Amino acid sequence: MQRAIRVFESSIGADSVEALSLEDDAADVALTIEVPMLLKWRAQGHSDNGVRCEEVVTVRFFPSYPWSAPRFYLREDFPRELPHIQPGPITRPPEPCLVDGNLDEFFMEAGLVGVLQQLHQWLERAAEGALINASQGWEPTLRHNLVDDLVLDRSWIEQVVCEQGGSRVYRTSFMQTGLVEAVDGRETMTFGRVDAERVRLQSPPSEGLFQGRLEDGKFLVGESLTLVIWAEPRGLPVIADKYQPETVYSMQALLERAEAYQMRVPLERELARLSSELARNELMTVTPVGVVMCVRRPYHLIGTDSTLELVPYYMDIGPQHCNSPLAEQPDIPVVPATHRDAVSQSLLERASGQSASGTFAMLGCGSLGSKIAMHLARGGNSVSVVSDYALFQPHNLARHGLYDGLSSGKATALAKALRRLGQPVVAHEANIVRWLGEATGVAALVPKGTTTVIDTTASRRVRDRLSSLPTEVSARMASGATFGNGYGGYLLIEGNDRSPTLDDLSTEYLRLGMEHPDLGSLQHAEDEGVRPMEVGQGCASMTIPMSDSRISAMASRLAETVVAEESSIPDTGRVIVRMDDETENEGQWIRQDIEAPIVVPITDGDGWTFRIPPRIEGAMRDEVSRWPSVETGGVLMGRTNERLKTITIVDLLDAPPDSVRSASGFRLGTSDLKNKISDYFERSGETLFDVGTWHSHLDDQGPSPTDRNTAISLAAERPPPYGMLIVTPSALHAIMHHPDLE
Amino acid sequence: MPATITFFPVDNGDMTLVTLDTGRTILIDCNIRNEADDEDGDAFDVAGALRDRLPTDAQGRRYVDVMVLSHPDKDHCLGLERHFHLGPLDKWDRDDDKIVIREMWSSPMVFRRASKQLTLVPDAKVWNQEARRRVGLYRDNPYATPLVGDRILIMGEDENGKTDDIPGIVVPVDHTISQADGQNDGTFVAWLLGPLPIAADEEEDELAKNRSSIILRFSLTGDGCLDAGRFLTGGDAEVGVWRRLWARHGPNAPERLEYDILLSPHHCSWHSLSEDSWSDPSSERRVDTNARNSLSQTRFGAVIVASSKEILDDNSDPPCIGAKDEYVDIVDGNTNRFFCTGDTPDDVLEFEIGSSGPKKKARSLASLVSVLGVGAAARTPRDHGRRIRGS
Repeated sequence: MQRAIRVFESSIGADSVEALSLEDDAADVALTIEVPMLLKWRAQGHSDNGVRCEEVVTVRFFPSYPWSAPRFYLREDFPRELPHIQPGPITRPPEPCLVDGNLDEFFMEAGLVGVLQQLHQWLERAAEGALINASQGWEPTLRHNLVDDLVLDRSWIEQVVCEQGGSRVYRTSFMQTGLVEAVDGRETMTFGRVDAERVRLQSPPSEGLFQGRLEDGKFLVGESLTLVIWAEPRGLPVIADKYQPETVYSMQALLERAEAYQMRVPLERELARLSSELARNELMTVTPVGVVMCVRRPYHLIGTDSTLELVPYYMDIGPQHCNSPLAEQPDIPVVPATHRDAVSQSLLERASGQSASGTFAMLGCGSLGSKIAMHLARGGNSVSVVSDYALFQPHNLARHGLYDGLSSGKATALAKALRRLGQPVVAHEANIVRWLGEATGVAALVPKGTTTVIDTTASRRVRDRLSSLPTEVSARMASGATFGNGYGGYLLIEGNDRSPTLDDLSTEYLRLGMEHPDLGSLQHAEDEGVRPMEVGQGCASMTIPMSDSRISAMASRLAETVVAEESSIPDTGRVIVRMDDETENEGQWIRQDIEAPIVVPITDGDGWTFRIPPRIEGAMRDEVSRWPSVETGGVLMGRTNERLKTITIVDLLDAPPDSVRSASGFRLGTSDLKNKISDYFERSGETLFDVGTWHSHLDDQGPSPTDRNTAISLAAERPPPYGMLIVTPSALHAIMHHPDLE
Repeated sequence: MPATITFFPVDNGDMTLVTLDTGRTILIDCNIRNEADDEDGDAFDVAGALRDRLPTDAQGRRYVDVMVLSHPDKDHCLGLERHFHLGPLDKWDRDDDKIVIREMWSSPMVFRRASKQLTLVPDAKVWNQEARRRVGLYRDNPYATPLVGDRILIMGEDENGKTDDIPGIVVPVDHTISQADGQNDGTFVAWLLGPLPIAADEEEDELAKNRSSIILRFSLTGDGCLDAGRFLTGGDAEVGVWRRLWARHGPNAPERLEYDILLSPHHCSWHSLSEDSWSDPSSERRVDTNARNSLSQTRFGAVIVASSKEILDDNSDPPCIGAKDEYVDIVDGNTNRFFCTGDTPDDVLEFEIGSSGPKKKARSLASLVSVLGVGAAARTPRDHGRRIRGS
C-alpha cells in the first residue's frame, strides 16, 4: 500500500494524494486529478457536460492487491449519463470503465502508472464528450463485469420488433448456479437461453414452466419466460438517443428505465399477465424471468449494421412476490444481464472474421472430410448434407475428431457436431457410389441450393461418378485429398458445365507432377499410397498411416482454399496443390487453371471420346503450321477411363526422327519412341502413358482408308482404347478400331 | 491535427515551439543552458524535448521551418550555436546532427554594429552572422528561389535605412505573415505588432534590445478550424512598447492584441507593466493603464504563461510577484489560468489547439524511470566501504 501511494505521489504530486482510510479489508486513497480541458471550460471550472477541472477520484485497494487492480470511483454526483461508466446501482458511486477488457489483466501488464494514465485519459475524454465516437457507431450500454447471461438470437428479434404490439413472451431455459466468489454482492449467476417458442400468457397454463430442478446438486435448471418489449412506433420509429449507464437493480428502476425508452406500457401489460400466470403456478424457489428491452438507437451499434440495442435483465421472482401484481412491488430484485448472441452462422462469421457464402455438401466424413466440414461450418458456411457409409472403428480415433461411440456412423457424428453450430444438416449413411448413380440418390446427396460438393473420399469411383453427373446438377464439384504422407494436399475444382471434369483434372494433376519435380516425387513417394494396416487379428484396413496433427494441418489449408475459391469461382477448372516441407515447415502452393477440354467423339469407338485441352490442340496446330505442305503427327499422352469412356490427353510426344512426312500421308517412325514412352510412364509414377497417335490432313477430310487400316493394325497390337486423332485445317476427327465390335 | 504551443522550462528565458495544424514548426527563441545539456545532471533535457517534437527531412536532418529570435539577449538565444546548424546546408554534419533552421525571422537589429550600448553574447553574434549571410544571398540575387536553409525574413524596417534595398524579405510592422519557410501555410496568420520604431523621446540605450523585441500575435487553425486559438508573444518588450501599442491599436482595432494564450513579456517582469521599480520598496509601483490594456485583451478562458523561475513573494524582478498578481487579475482572478514554467521544471507546458479551441495538455505522468527511481543512485556520489579518517 505504501508503495502504491508513493507511486501515485511521484506520478501526480504528493499534494494530490490523500490516504483516506487504511483498513485491513480495503484501503481508500483520494487522488485529485487535473483534467485537461478547453481553456473556456477551465475558466468556468467544469466542462459543458459537468466534468470538473479537478476531479477527486477514490481509489480502493482490496486485500487481493497487487493480485488484482484497485478500483476507481468517481464522486457521487459525477454526470452518470456519460458512457463508459460501469453498470451498478445508483446508490454506488460511479465507476469509470478504464480499459476495454479486463482491468486486472491490464494492471498486471501496465502497472499502477498505466492504470493511472488510463484514468487521466478517461477523464479527459469524458470532459470532451468523446467517450463515444459516433463515427464508429453507437456504444451499447456498458455491461462489462456482469455475471448473468441471456442468449438470444438477434436476427429473429430484429424481425419481431418491426411488428405491432410492443411485446412478445418466449419460453426460456435457464440454469442457475452459485458463484465461487460473490461479485458485487451477487452470489448466483443465471444463464438463460431464449427459445423461439412464443408463449401466450393467460391462455391454457403453460406446461412445465417455473419448475426448477436441482442437477448435480449445484445447478438449478428449469424453464421460465422472457418478456421481449419494444417501443411501439407511432408513425415514426421511437429512437432513444440518450446514453444511459446501467443502474437498474430493482423493479422500480426497471419500470423507470422502460419509461425512459418509451416502453413502459407494454412492460406493465406483460407484467400484469405474468402476475396472473404466477398466481396460478406455485413457485417453490426464486426463479429468474428475463426482460429484454429492444432499444432503437439513432445510428448503428459498434461492429454491427443494426440500430437495435438489446438490453436484457433478470427479475428474480420469489414465492413471496406471487400474491400481488409484480409492477406494484418496487423492491423485486432485478439484475442487468449480458446479451449473448445465439450460435448462428452470422455470429460464427463475425467471430471468424470471414464472410461466408457457400453451401456445401460433404461426400466422405473421414478424418479429412470431417475436419474440413467443421472448419467451414465454424466460419459460418452452410454445410447442408454430410454423407459417408462408414462406422467408427477404434483405429479411427487416431485422427477423427468427432468420435461418437463405436459402431456409430461417421456421417451421423459429424452431423451432430455441425448441428451444435446451428446447422440444419442432413446426414446420409449412404453408399455414395451407388447413390450417385441414381437420380434420387444424387438429389439426396447434392440437394438443390448446394454451391459446392466436396468429395474427400479419395475414391476414384466417386470421382468418376461426379465427373459424369448431368450438368443440370448445378453445384460445383470439388475433390480434396492428401498425399505424400500428409505433406501434400490437393483440391480439384471442376470447370463450368462440368468441363473440365474432376477426372480430367486428376489427370492434369498427375501431369503437374512432371512439370514440378518436387510435386512429382511427393506424389510418387515410395511409402505413399493406400496400404493395408493391421487393425485387428486377421483384419486390416486400407489406409495411409499419418498423424492427426499432419492431417489437421492439411485439412485447415484445404478448408481455407475452399473458402477462398468459393468467393471467386472461375469458369475454368482449377488444380490447387499444397506441399508442406517436412523439415523446415515451409511449403509451396501450385495453382493451375485448366480450360475446358475439346471433346472429340471417336468414330467406331463404342462411345469413347477424346478430351483434348485447348493448349494441346494449339501445340498440334503449331506443329502442323511448321509442315504446311506435308502431313505430320506425333504421339498422344494421357490416361484413359474405362467407366467414363474417356481418353484424356495432357501431353504430346514429338514424332521420332525416322518418321516420314509427305503430302499424301504420315508414317510415324519408331526410333527411340518406345524408350521415350516408357520413360514418360515411369516419370509420371506409372500413371500417364501413350493413349493414341495424331496426324494432320492437309484438307478437311476425316479418316482415310489408310487411317482405318492403321486403326485395325493398332488394335491388334494394343488393346483398346487406343485412338487416332486427325487434325484437319478446321476440325478434329478421331477413330478407333474395336475388335469386339466387329 | 491540432496545433500545439509548447513552452519549455528554461528558467528565466524564453523558448516556445508553435506546431501548426499542418505540422510545420515555428520556434521562438531558445535558452538551452549548459546544465540542461548535462546527461548526468538532473536538469530537464530541453534540447531533447525540442528534438522529440521536430520532424526530419529525407536526409535525416532534424529541422524547424522557422526560428524567430525575438531579440538578441542571452536568455533568448543561449545554446543556438551548440544545437543549431548555421551556414549553408551542404556544411551540415551528420555526426553533429544539429537542427536546421529553414527560415530565420530576425529583427533588423542584425544590421546594427556592436557598440558600448549594444553588446552581444556569442550566440547572438552567430545569429547575426547567419542572418547577414542569408540577407547577402538575397541581395546577390533577389529573384532566385532560396535553397533550403537560406531563407530569412526581417521583421520590421531598419530605422537607419539598412533594409531599404531588400523589400522582398522585409515584413513591415502592422503587416501579416501567413507563410512559413516560403510556403503558403494557410493555417496561421501572424500579425507583426513590433518592433516599434524608436520614439522621439527615447534614447538608444541598453534597453534598445528589449524595445526592439519582435511582437507577434498568431491566429492559429486547430483541426481545420480557422482562428481556433490566438497566441500573443512579445519577447522582452517593456512598458513603453505596450503603452504605444495600445495607443496604436486600442482605439480602433483592439482585437489585434486579443489572445487565448499570452506569454507574459520579459519573464513576468514588472517593467512590462510599470515605469516604477519593483525591487525598490520605496517606489510607488503604479501600473501603466495603457500597457495593461495591451496585455489584457483576453478571449473567454484565456490563460497567461510566465516563462521564468518559480515566482516567489519577494522583491525580485523578473519574475515579479506584482506582475503575476496583475496577470491573475487580468484572467478574472483565477489562479488556475496563470501558469509558470518554473513550477514544473521537469516538464514542458503544452497547449493543444483543436477545433473547439485551446486546451492545456495533460502533464505527462512521471515516467517509469522516476517512479521506479531508476538511476537515482547515480545522482550524487556516494561513499562505499570504510573511510579512514585522517589517512
